[in-house]
Amino acid sequence: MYFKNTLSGRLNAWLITLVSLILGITSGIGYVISKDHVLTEARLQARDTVKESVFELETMLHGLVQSTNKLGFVLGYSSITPQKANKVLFDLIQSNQRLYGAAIALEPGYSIDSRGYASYAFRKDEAVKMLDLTAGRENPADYLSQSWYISAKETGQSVWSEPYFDELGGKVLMVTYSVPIFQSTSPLLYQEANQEFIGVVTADIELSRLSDFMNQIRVGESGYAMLVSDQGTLMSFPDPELMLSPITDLYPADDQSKGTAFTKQILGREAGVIKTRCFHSEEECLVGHTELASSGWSFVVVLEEDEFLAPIRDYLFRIIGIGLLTLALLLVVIHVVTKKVITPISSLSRLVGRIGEGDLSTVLPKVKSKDEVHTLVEAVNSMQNHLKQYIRDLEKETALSARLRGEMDAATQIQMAMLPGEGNFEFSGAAYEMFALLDPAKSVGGDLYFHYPVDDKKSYFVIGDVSDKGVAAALFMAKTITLLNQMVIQGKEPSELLFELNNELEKNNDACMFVTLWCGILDHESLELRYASGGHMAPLMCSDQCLDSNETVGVFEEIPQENGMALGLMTDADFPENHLKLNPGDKLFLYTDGIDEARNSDDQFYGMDRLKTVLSEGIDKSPKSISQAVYGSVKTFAEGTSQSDDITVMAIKTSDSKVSVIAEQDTAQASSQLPVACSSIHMLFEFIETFWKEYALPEERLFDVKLCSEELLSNIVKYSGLTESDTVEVSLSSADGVLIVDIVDAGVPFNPFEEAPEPELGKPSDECQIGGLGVHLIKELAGTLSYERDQNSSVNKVKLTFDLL
Amino acid sequence: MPLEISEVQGQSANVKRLMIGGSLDTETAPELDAKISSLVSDAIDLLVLDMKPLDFISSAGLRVIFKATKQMKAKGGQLAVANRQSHITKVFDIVKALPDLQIFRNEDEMDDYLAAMQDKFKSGES
Repeated sequence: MYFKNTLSGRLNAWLITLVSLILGITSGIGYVISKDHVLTEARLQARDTVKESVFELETMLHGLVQSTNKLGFVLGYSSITPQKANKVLFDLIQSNQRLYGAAIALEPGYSIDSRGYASYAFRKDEAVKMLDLTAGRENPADYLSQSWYISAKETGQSVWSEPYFDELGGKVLMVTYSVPIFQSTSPLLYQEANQEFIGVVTADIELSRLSDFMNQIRVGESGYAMLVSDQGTLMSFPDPELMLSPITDLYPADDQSKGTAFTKQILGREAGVIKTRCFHSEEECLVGHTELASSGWSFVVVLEEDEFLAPIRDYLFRIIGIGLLTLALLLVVIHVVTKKVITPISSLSRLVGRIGEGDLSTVLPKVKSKDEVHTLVEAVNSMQNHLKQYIRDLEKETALSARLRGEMDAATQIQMAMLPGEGNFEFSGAAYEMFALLDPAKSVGGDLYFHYPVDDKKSYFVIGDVSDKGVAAALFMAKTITLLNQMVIQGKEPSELLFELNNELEKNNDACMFVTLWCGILDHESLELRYASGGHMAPLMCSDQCLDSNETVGVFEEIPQENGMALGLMTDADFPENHLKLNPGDKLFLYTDGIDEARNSDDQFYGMDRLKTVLSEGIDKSPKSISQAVYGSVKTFAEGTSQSDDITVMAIKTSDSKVSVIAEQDTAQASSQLPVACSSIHMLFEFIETFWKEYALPEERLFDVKLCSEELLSNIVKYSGLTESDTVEVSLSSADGVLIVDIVDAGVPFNPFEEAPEPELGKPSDECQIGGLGVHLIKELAGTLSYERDQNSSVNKVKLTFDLL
Repeated sequence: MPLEISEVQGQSANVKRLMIGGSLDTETAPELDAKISSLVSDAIDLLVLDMKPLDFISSAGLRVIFKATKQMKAKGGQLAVANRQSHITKVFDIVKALPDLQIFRNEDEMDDYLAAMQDKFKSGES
């Protein structure tokens, strides 16, 4: 397709359209303007063609008219003798080739012969013949009634006749000019008054001569002339059949109105051009007519309009031809020129397109012209070079960035390696289990945690937060950790440890960096926690333990703590000692301010309340679970924002019960102190199951022992009046195939075997009394059972035995 | 040992099935109590406690089951226990199975009964 959507295509399209339009319009205007001119020219030409003929005819007629008039005048002043008259007539005819005949006719009163005088001379066979019009007739005075006589006599004017057939004289078709002869009664010449009519002199023209003359007139190819009398009779016509017909006969009988109008116009004195249907064909014709002054006849020329307009049409075709040719040439020119101009642009656009795709190695062609295209090429070249340079620079920077990142990753690894568990630390021991997690905000950070189990008697716990973040904090953190590692080996108490650590950190600390640090030692036996804090927040601890399906569980509160200042700022700073006695199952939660000071997208802080809520809800979770829950909660909270601070958590849970197992040869023994609460039941089960596994006791009895122990414990929880701060001692001993369960509680005196009501069994459920079911089970499952109240120590002692074999 | 309760998707709208696992003791019994209380309604004709994964039961657990039987009966329905392990069955036997309690010894028994229940439901009987 030529007119595709390219610059050259569009240019071509526009130019061709506009040029065609302009050419068309100018040609059109030219045609319209010239048409008239051409028409006028054509008309003039046509007129010119007939002008001569008209002139000739007119001249002849005029000549005839003048001569005859003169003759008539002269005859009026002389006496007319027949001889004279004949001679005049004879000479007239002989000398005038154009005249067919001439006659002189006198009134009877004025002629020699009283019968009258009418003499006629006419041409016949190249000779002139004389005819006496009075002779050889019945009525010699016939001539007096001829129209040619009467018309002149009655009008007193010279008059042309209608064409007629002359019977009397020449016996041909002719037209006669009659001139009245007047004789003056007064002797004076030129006196108008007293003119007496004495006769007529006529001149005849043969119609055939006229029509021959007319018929040889050619106007163009198809045009012809006709002569119309002043009464509207055709005196000549190419078709001889229509001779002497009224010109209305040229029109068909049913169109006589046109004929009448036509006749009227023709006979009018004004010359003119009538457009009408051709008389000899179906075409349109132009009829030009003019009045011959000498005769009042109309000289009519008929021309086919097409022929008449032929010049116009030729002109039009010529114009169109020229126009098309011009257009074709212009098209070629346009095409060539646009191509020449556009080619560099289109090739340029292609190449720039390639550059745009990313092929910066594309080379643009040199442009010789100093025009916009040149400017464009220069600009693109410059842009290309800049891009290449930019990409080179970017690549360099990226490489540098990548290297730096690599170094940072290495640094992160080294730093995390300093921490136990490398940021994700799980530890489970006899006295406690713990979990610690550290997530630095950037690759390297300033938070730290530390754990050191000295022996089976005590362990160190440390958590800290260096001021600021990033590489500087990381280096300071590294220094701190390294020092910690050294100091814990020395076995110092927290207070002293922090004191010395502070002094070390203060040295060479021109940047005034500092670290908040919490350090604690847990005694495994007594569960005593000795701790000191250098500006770090107190750990949270859970104080309540009861699992009741309706109450909210566990409240975490800060442990009482006397603070020292942050480490690294002032030498010989003081770090007060703190003590706290923990219970089995207590939960400690340590953290850095990356937790409570975490922000969400609305700039709200996570806060202590949220932390305490999450901890409370996870009361029965392991240290690992609860740490992950808190971490997850903080992350969710801060979603959408970037981590602003390092996040560190450490959860510690002291073991629930102290199990001491004394290994002996044949006997196995264990006892456990359990709080008086429903929540101790699973601890009871653990205790029993551990014992069972330890001594590989038969599986079949495990269930029974568990059930009976559980029932007894429940009873104590319900009826002993003791609370969860009190304990019940459960002892197991296995010897000689017999398992003994001893349960000792310091509650109110209560014998479960007697004071629990007997259950009614086998009755429909709504009648069955619920109480005592447990005791019934014990009675059924245990071998022996006994109850004793020790009055001295105010304890209840229940003993059950089971056969293991 | 904790208690695990899960609802088993059944085919009838009038039958509810709970899978009870772990230990049903004084400590954990209240959980089951709460769960059963939330399920008991006029729409339920049968509540089945599938005890296949249950390892331990004490009197506290039994009490909850007795209460549940009463609750179901009050709503015109029935409680059933199924697939009890041997030591669990032993405990039930010691306290003597309640007359109102429906017991399915195995899966097939339970399936047959459930099918019958479904037909009953479909045919519009209550």
